[in-house]
Amino acid sequence: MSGDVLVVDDESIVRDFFKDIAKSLGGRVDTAEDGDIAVEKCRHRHYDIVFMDMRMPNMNGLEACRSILSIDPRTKVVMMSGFSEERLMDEAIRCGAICKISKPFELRSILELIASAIPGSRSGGGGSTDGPFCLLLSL
Amino acid sequence: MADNLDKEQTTKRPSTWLAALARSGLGIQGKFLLLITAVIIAAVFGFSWFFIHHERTVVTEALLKRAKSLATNLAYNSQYGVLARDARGLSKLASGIAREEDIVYAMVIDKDGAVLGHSLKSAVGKKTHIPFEMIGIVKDSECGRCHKPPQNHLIHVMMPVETVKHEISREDLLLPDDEASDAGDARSARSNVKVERIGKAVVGVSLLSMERMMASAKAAVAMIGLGIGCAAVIAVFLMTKAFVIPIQRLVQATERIASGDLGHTVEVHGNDELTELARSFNSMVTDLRGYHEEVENYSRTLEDKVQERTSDLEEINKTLRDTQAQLIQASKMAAMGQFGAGVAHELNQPLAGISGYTDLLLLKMDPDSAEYRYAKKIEDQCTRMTKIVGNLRTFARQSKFEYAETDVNQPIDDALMLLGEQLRSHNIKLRRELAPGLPKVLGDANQLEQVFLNLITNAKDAMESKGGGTLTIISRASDTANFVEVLVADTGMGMDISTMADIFNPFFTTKDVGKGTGLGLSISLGILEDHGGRIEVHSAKGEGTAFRISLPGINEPPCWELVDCSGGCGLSKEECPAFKNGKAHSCWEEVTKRLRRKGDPLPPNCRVCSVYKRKAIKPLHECWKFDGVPVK
Repeated sequence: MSGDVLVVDDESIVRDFFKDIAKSLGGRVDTAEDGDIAVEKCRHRHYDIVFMDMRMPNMNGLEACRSILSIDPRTKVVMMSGFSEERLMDEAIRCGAICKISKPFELRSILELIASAIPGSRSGGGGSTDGPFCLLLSL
Repeated sequence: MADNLDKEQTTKRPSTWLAALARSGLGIQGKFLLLITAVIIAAVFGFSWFFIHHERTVVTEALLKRAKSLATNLAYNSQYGVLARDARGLSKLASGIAREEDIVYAMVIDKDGAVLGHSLKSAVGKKTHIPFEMIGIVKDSECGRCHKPPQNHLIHVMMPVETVKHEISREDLLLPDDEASDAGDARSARSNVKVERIGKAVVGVSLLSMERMMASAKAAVAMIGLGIGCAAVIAVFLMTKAFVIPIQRLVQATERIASGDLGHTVEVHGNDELTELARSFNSMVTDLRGYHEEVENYSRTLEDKVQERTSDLEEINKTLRDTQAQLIQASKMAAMGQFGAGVAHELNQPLAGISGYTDLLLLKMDPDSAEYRYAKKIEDQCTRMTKIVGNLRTFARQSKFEYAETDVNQPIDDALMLLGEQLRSHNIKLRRELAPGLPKVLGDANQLEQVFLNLITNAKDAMESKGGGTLTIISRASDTANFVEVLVADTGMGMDISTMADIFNPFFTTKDVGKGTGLGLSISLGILEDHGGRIEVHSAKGEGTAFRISLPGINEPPCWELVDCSGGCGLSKEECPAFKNGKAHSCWEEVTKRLRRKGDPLPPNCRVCSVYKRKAIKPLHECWKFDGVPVK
């Protein structure tokens, strides 16, 4: 199931945190430092869920969200914000982002989002399809 | 100058003395009096002279007539006496005549001038030298040629004594012919009867009594003239007085009016030209007064207008100062907000890491282990930090006002969250009694938080110098449940009444330089007024201060109107849905929806129009009554 999650943030601590969650659970996530790279990555493969920071250099989260959704409409984009950019966040929601979370975030809500986004991770109910995130949730 | 010369030339012609009189320093009355008196005196003199002269002529003529008739009478009666040369008879006759009044003497003389009879017997026989042919009236002055001084204004009346000669026989009569022819009378010649002059009867008349009479007549005339003159002068005096007094009144009135007494008028009696003049003078003064009052009124209203404008300007100036103060504060807040926003954003990233890794640790650890407890502590602190950063973020949004249904407890707690540590470090105890389920108020949580931040900061500063104290914050619903009341009380220094009067003024501060801006309470008051609320202060010097805030609940009908929608969406007050609902939040969406539904493009400047200003349209105490607990 690795590779289904993309984390886009210019802050390395956030990227590292997502990576470590995956690593500790035996999974893995892709990361991107800004919107351009994220869009580029989305061109080459499909991600079930993208965690997108709003404020980034080069291309901001809103534009990146739009681009990714135009490339791959099935992708679920979660907007993240460290500051009150509510207008932009609302606009992103209008553009198709599934929800917004503000930093600092709770681990539990992130795990729930991933679980709901990855096909079969929860709703499938089958043990074979349980990914590392589902294991985590069961804790 | 030229005018004067002209006047002199024209007045010189009629009479120089009249001109001199006109130029003299006398008043009208004096001139009149002088002129009339002169005329009267001249008239009286002329009349007296004429009267006396006429009287004298008449009396003299009558006297002479009488004397003449007496002389004629004497002459007639003396005919035989002369013929007989009867001195005794003639003297008797003369004496009879002389007895008459004014007759000094009477005598009869013969042809030769010898006195045949005389009223004075001693004179008989004497000879006179009066020429025989001299007949009629002879004035005494004639006698003066021979006699020395003329005596007693005598007039001598001489009449001839004649006898008739009948020519019976010339011889019988022994009269010479030549003498008969000398008589030369045509009548006698014709009838042969000759009238012969044989003597003269002379009567001396004295004018003395007549003169005496004239003298007394003169005196009487003089007296009468004097009386008439005096009466005339008095009459003229009174008459001129009657003329002059009204004129003098007019002159006085003119002087008083010239000196500024416009209320003065001239008394008007009668109906002559002068009263007419006085009347028109009065009406002129009335007009003048009217104009004067008009001018005064105008200048007064001008003054009032200037004053009005000045006070208007002062008010505007004050508003400007207040607005400037608020602007300064707003820009300060905006700067602080930007700073806070930057800090919040920067802190949030590492905080996200810390909190995330802590969560991860907690997932992996045995909940019963000591490490789990440690990690749990970190998580608690992370939660607290998250809240602080969140508050900073809220504060950063200060310049953006969003009116929404707000629970007043929320901004209170937010403010306490930001300042809690400071209170603790200053040894200040907190008594927090926030009632749950308060009525919601229509307000901007950020602005309300700023109010509580200001009040709590002031309380903290007031207690700092006392080394600590208790901060009391109570919130509750009013008895009618339509208002929310908040009490913020401290046990600090307190203040006196004069300080209390100033605390809501911008830039008024009792704090040290650099510590307070003097804007906090003024901004707070502005915010509360914008919310339709009010604030009261109660304080006792040395004991503490309490502020009581009341805010109208959402169900309370608004007592404000939307005066300015800075969103620039171009909608009038009546059109704005936010105003219609008495709520301002989510106005943006409603407006956009409405415009889109109509298919109109959005106004180019349309932004969120929930940024607006409210203005109380009624005095606040009319909108609601403060029914909170009294503050001790």
